[in-house]
Amino acid sequence: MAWPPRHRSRSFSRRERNLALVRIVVALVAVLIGLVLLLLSRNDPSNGSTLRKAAMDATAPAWGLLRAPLAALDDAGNYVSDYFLAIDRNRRLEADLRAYRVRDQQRLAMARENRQLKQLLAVVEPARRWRRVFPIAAGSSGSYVRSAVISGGRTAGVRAGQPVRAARGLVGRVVEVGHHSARVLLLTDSASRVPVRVVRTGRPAIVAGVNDAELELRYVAPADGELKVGDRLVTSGDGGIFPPDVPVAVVTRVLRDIQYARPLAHPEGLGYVIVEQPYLPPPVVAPPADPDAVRTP
Amino acid sequence: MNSPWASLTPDERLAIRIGRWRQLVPSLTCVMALFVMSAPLVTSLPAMPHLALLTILIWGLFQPVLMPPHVALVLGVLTDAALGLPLGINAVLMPVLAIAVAALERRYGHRPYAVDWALAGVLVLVYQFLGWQLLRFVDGDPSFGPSLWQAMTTVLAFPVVVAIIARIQRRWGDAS
Repeated sequence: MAWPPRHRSRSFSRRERNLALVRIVVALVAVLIGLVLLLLSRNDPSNGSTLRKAAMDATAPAWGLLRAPLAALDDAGNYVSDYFLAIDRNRRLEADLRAYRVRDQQRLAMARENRQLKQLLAVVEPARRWRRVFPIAAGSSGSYVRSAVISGGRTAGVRAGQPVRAARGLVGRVVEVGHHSARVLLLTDSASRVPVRVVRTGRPAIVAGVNDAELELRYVAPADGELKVGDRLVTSGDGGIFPPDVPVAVVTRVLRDIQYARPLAHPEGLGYVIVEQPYLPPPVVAPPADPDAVRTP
Repeated sequence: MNSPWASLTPDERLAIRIGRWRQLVPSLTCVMALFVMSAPLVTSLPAMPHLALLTILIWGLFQPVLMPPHVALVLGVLTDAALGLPLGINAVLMPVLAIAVAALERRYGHRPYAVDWALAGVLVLVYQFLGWQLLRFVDGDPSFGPSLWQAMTTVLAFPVVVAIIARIQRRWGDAS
């Protein structure tokens, strides 16, 4: 007998055709729902943040647990290598210390002078009030978003907008806060903009992430040929989120109309990060009572 | 009417209902892939392969019945949530991928492995390109370079994920 049989029963084939139709409709509906979600996110980027926070709260503690033995191994390795390198390092540090003692005297004198000058000018500086240290609990190294999740959230006092730094330099800022975890937008994300200052010249600039290993420098005047490879960039404190004078990046490439810098806090090495309060509290802008009153004639 | 279901004893019905958890195996694989993708390895290059995409692709190639478009939709929403993306990017592309893979499977089944791999390469590249376009549609102007990087690592990770999913399927996945 030939296979497939030439005459299949009619009811069977009808059932099969109906099922195929249902499958096509279900598939189309699934794609449509996806498109609706996409349009909703375009209208309102905060759409779905509840779901993202829930996912974050679910993954962060598990990775925290898995991470503990790895961190212990890493520490053990460091301990052994430290032991073997101790003598070399000690000699080098003692030499450094002698040099730094001299510089420290100069620094103390300058600090005293600076304090006196600031008193004369009546400069008011906001104090850094609150800071806490959290381990990195999860990352997102996909191609669209460069972010990390820290294992401290609303219950630990973390709020959106707080600056995050590591020992070597600035890491980014908090963008989404769950109960026990928070998402940090890294400097390298294409949504990240940080106002900085070139240490050597004092020129302001903006470092922008491009989802790549390096950062782009923007708003540096093109005629300004004074930027050199190796120039250090620190936060300027403009905008009020990032405290001033936190190291951010080193200039790595200076092309004719674009400059690149490498972040000082290597994302690979982020173990623990420090979360601080925003440098200045965000200004409270009262909406104008009458929109016609502020309109220019 | 004496349907097969009605003729079963309650114990047998319970056993069948419990046995249906196997239909969740592909989804669970994808959730595990998402967990691995959110590992605290923050690298400077987007070197992490898109494992969730690979699970959809490979389950679609192995057992299209277990990876229908509506399941892919749910997994896509989960992917967007877990990776911190605007909802809708993977949620659109994953059902489309499931439909495309099922259609390819129906049309040209039983291919050699190398052809599967090449096919996966093309699909991953198209997927990353469309994902980039959708992200540009939602917000901002990201560059395509990182997506290309991730497409590359994803294609390289294909054989590993195939091996893992093949083992999972042999152990738990033969439900249909």
